[in-house]
Amino acid sequence: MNKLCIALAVLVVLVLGATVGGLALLLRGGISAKVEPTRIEVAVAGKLRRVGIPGSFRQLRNPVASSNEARAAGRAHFADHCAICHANDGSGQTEMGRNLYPRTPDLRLPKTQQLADGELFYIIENGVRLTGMPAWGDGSEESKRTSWHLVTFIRHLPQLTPEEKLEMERLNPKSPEEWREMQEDEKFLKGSEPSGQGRKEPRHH
Amino acid sequence: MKVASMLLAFALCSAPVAAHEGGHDARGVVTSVGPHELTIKTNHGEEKFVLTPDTQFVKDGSPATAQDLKASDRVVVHAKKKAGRLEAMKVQFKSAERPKKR
Repeated sequence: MNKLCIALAVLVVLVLGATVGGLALLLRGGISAKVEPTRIEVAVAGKLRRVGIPGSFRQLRNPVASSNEARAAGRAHFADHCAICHANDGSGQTEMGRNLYPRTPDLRLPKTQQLADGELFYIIENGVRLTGMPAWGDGSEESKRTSWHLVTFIRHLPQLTPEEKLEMERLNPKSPEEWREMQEDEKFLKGSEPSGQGRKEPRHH
Repeated sequence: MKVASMLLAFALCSAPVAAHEGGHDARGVVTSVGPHELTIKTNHGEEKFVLTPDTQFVKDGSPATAQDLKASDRVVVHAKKKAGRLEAMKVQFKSAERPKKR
């Protein structure tokens, strides 16, 4: 009976805590993603992510040898799939990255670089709930190889060169309008349009 | 339940609409370039851009620096508005063409 009472009391406290916490969050900014995540949220989310990754993955080492080819494959895939949120340099400084909740992390910093190879692999393959990180893996060998290439490239991000960044800009997905503008820019730079041909329209992404 | 519904409705209604981040692009000819500022002439008049350590310079598709840029060069500037100024994010230009020998 005593144990039942204690369990009930703990349950009531937890429910009350969750309710108060939820109300505080609602009053702090509603469901808006504009407010900065609190330190408590960041700390709890970080711990939960760590706990949520199965221990077996923490032991995994990247089976893909770090080579120019592996880095190039990871770089091309990152430019095409990841850079829209993470930015080509991994800083997270994109319109999407800055406005997601939680904000897209800077992958060059120790918080990401200190994760084990297997942890990075798990996050890429399975995503992270309640964040903007989707699950990219489909369980196939091809998908696993691609994710390991990405792990190789993420390790290289702190040493990314300006040449590599430009190469990635060429690989970033573009809308037909962006392609047209790039062609017009090129024509202008080559001098085939009158000088002073400026475009003034505000650019929205 | 009613209170919770009202709170949720309030939260949904009061959520501010996210504004899209505005950018500004310009094509023009360099009239002056310094370590911190680039001025170009466009067909809409003169425009000034703040140069920062993060400004990316690209000459002939390769990384370059502000020192490679000269007056009368044609440029394409991709900028963002920040604190009432235009901050250049990327400045593209090409090598000046040499006059053809006859």
